[in-house]
Amino acid sequence: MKKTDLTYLEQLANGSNTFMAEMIQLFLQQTPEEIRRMKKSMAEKDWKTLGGVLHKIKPSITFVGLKDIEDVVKTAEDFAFRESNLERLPEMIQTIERSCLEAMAELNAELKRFS
Amino acid sequence: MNTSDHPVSVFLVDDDPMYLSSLKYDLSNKFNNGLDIRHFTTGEDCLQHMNEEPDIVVLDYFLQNEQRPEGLNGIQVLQQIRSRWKKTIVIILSGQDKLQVALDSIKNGAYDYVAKSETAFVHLEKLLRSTIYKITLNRQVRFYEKRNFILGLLFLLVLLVNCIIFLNR
Repeated sequence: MKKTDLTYLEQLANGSNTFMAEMIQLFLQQTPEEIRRMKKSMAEKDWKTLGGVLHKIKPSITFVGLKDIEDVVKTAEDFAFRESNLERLPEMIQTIERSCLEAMAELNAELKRFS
Repeated sequence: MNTSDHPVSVFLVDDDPMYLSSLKYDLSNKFNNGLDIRHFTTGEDCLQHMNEEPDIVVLDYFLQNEQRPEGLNGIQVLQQIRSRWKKTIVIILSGQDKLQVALDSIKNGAYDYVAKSETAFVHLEKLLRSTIYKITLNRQVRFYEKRNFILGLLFLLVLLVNCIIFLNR
């Protein structure tokens, strides 16, 4: 089963393959850096930065329809900002990373369709 | 004479390139390229261009990030705009759909607040349409006020000339 769902992005695109390709490329460019920052702030127990990174990836996740981690990202952001349930964060961050990597693999293939 | 001879100008400010590009694309489509849209990834960039006096600024609440911790956040940008460009309408966008963020935005002079949910673009479109309607009405009011003032002056001038002619007879 596919991780991503491009329905929302396709609605926005209104038939433009150029827009679709541009958005997918932006996701593919931004996500590795966001994962790196997320893991770094997790390792350094920098909860404010971690909350900020999680906050920033929410719209991108919505755009590419990564529904299965939407709630995890929101909850992890909340935990990080509130500095609560910190013991649950490593597993959540792993889940987010795994889903993002799978999404990137899928979107790399999808990109050919729009290029 | 046209009362709305220049398009409504909108600045979009967000440090997320994906969000910024999609928002600009969506608004350009929905308004048939009828808006003059500029976009910026930092509050500082936006403020540097504020002398262009945009009608509307759509501003991300959460602008700071790790790469530029010293940068201005959305509320600081909002405060500067409010203090120096009072006519510009500021709409705050935020990924956090929390009452405190909305209150903070309104308290600091934002016109309205839109949460970055899946329906954000629809809400923003509605909000922009009503805002643009107000701006257009204001422009028309200003146009007619100016026109009536000039007509009033002309009328007085004609009256004065007639009085002078009458008195010289």
